[in-house]
Amino acid sequence: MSKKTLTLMSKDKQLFNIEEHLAVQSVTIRNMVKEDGASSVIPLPRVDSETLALVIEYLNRQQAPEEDEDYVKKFVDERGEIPTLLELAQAALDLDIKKLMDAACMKVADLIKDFTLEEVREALRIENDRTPEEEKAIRDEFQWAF
Amino acid sequence: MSTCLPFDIQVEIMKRLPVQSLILFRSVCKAWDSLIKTKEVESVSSVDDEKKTQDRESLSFVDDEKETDDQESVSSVDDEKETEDRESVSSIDDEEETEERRICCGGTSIIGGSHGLLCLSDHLGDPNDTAETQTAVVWNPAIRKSVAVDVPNMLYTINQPNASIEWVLGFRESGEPIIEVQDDIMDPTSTLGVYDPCLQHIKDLGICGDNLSFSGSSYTISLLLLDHVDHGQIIRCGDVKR
Repeated sequence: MSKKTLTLMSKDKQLFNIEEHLAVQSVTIRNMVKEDGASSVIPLPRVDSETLALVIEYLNRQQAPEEDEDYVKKFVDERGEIPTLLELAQAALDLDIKKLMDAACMKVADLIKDFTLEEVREALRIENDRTPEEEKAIRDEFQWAF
Repeated sequence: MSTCLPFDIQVEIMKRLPVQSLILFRSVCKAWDSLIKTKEVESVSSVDDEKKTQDRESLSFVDDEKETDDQESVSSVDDEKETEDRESVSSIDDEEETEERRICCGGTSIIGGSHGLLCLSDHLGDPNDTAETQTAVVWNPAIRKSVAVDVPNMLYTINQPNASIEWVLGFRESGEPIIEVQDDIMDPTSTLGVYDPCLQHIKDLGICGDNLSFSGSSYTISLLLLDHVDHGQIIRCGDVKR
């Protein structure tokens, strides 16, 4: 019996094949397969091809369960760029691959924990919606913590 | 790079930040502020998620006999500092302890601390007393807020026919209690052990001392403070990780 293969399509319309039994580590894909057999292509409109390639690489890992923790940590460590990690985290969240999402977010948190406010906003693409006065008020309130 | 990072990812990252960073990052934007204000509740309820995170800050407890009015003092100890630093924190006089915040907790004891939060409770009581219901309070010293949480009556009974359990000193992160065990009723010394509820077995930690001389009542990841050994003001640190 040959293993069943699924086809995933990234935002930029690139196709990726992956064996079904590996793909269903993603809860989202598992549910899709359960519902309609997912014989056709599964579109992933929020995931670009570079990120999807990473996700597939992760899903294809050949790892004993007890080594998995280390593997996923190393996997995100090797891709230590914040923008890549954020894309990966987003994809893992959409696809519901908890371990990958955990590891990617953990790594980002680790990288930004000593950042300044401005650096955090830049890294996470967040807009500052406070006036300098409001910021100062908060800082005064928690003076000793800084 | 133009679009904003989806908020659910921001939340996931926030959950994994150490408390110290979170306090500063309240100012990132308004959404972070309002979320971080309720963060101390969240980080407790999602302990599973955070178990894997390394503690950047742990709180340890120093029971000082010189204190009056039932006050207990708490010092912050940075886990990443060298051991020498920890020891100096333990031996510093209250007056000189700059990092210290004081809380009044008459009759309340500190069960433990993790992720910059403290867990306080009434006396832990006899571990064999199944009827006792207690309220635990989780306190965030960083933002001076607390939440009361319900504690289940009893999770398990420790049954050790050959030894008497003197005292529960605290709990490991995984839930096993650290207990003081007296092997022989006539023996003036006790040993520290960790009770494993799965194996129903008390594992000896290899730390022994006079009966009831283990008064460090907080357990951090790797550090246990032992107070007034030899009736002095000595604080010994024992590693109870293993």
